[in-house]
Amino acid sequence: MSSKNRKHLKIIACVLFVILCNTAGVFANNPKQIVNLKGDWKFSIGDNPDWKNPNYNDKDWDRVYVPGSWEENGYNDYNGFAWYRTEFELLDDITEEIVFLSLGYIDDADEVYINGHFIGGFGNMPPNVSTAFDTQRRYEIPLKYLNFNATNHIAVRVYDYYNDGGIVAGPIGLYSVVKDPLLEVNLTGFWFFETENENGLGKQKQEKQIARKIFVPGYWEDNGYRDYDGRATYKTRFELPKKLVNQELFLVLGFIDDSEIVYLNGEEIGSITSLKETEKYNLPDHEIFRGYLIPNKLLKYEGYNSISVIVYDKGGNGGIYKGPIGIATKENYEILKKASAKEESVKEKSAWESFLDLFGY
Amino acid sequence: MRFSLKTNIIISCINLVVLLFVCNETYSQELERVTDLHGEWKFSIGDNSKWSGKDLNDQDWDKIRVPGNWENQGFHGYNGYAWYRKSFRVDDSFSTKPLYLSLGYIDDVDEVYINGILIGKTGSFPNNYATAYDAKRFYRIPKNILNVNGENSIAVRVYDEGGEGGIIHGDIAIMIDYDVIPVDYDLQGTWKFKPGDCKIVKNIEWDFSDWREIVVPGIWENQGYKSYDGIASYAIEFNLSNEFDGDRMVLVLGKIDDLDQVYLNGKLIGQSGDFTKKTFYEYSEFHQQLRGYYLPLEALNNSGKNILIVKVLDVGGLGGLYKGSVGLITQTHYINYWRARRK
Repeated sequence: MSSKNRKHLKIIACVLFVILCNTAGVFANNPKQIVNLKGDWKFSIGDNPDWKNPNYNDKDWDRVYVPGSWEENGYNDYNGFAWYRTEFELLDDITEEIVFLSLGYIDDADEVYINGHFIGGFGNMPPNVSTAFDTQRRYEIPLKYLNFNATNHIAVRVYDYYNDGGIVAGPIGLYSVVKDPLLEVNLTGFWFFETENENGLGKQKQEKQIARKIFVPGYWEDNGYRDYDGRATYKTRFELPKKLVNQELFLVLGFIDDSEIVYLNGEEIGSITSLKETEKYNLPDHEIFRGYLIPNKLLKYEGYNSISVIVYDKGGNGGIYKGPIGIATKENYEILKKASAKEESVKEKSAWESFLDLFGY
Repeated sequence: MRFSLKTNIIISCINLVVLLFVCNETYSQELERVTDLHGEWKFSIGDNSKWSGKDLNDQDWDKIRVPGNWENQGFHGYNGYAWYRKSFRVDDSFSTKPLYLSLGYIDDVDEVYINGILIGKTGSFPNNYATAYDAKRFYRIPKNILNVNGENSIAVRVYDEGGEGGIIHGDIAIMIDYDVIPVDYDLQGTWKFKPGDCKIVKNIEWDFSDWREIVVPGIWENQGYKSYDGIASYAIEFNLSNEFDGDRMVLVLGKIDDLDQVYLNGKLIGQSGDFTKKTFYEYSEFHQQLRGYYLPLEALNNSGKNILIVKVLDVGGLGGLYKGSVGLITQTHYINYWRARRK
């Protein structure tokens, strides 16, 4: 099978997966779309640093439909640089803490600017090109970069070095992580991420990516760490609402492929091994719902609490791959656990697995 | 809505079928005939470098029908050198278009001049003889060498090693290829060539004394490197005198079989494919890709000497910078070209 077919298949597989997940209620409505950016964008081949500026006049540029390869938009056989530009109005003040831009899948490398500010990029631009065509683009937008009750500009610099190029597929829009009624603190969002060794990264250096963050939940293979197996560390921090003082709290980590050790403020609070001992699970590791009791004495009620999760993946996909992710009371943790068990028992998920098997992934 | 396993399989099959259609789409060349060159040409056996000239008096030369071998036209049993000449006119309106000279199939080796300027070469003359009887001759005519609305001359030097010889068969015409990128500074023509890897040095004083000559574009198999696979290096030196002040330039290299790394003045400016990967997956598509490398502003010396080196890795079959226009184009013209193609 040609690589073009492979690329197509993989992206179609990814898109289908997203559809399946949405319909199966895995993502539910969280993250929630704030602005839909599917549609006509301004487009020009070529490369010019001025094109990132919000006030650049692009009225003579072509219009292309996003998502879709530029080959489908009349630029057959074109390889090289191109820029996409669009704008959107943001009416209300956003109260959610995490807002991110989803650009689906980009072939091969990209750099993204919002109102002229660089917010991230995957793959490598020339001369040392590397593709990130199978990385789902999600870029955290610092709120200070956004203009409320005004126009915001997005500019995306893309480099394609063969076959299909551009913002080719997937969800395109502005999203936010909304409050989950069952979680006291929702930890879905961008976590610091570090792999134990860089072998899995190949030549793909992501120096420009702000502090190497990764969206949780999600497989790391889908977030720029193609073919990485082994150990990786996830880190984040949170503030604990005062009303939770002395309550029995759980750190909910959804599902992890394959195993992990969990630390809170530097102390180990559990691992998959300890979880299996206490809960008497009879499932493969990656199908066990993760919830760790947090010893009260470790929690800080002033300032930040830090979480670090060392995940070990022995092969295939890896990472904290499925939510919910956050801090829950004992009562809500039990509800979430039951709900996830129910979901697991519906064997619909195996449809996806068989689908993957079809193409030998 | 939930999909059952069966539905999923059906959906994936539909996708697969759709994909097969998408992937098998072929891109036909968009050609337009401008001047037909079938028919009577001037012909002389022998070999003389002066015969390439524009104003040569060829009145006394023999007449020969092109295409057709010379054995059936009075030169039975003749092997060796011979020259063909023909004059033609091109309408003003075509002169800015990407023009090609199609000469069909030539037995065995040829070198083609327009108005005395070498525009292409296929096969290799003795002492380094290599036939290219099975290669279709399709030569790009560089910009600004044509005498618009006046007489132009074509001179074709042919060498035949044995059997039938000459411009044997195929389409003989001047054509416009609308797929070709109209470069502003042509780099097509004779380059330096060396099989094997070469060490890139930043020093602009290169020594090419042990390099051979090769015509670009053209497959290296047809130029004396029959069945050579692996890495080979191409080099060309060119001088600019402020033609492109302040413009961002794109280096167009046409199509390359299979992978390439491009160095301008000692600095890597782009590459297609990874020389270190050895999987089919990594290189199978690259010979189809048009090369257009955006040059960093500081990479090009706009008022003096530039040295361009292209390392090519051919993993099997034909190799080299084999097709399309080769040269520099301003980014503005490049954008215009692609936008025009879109409509």
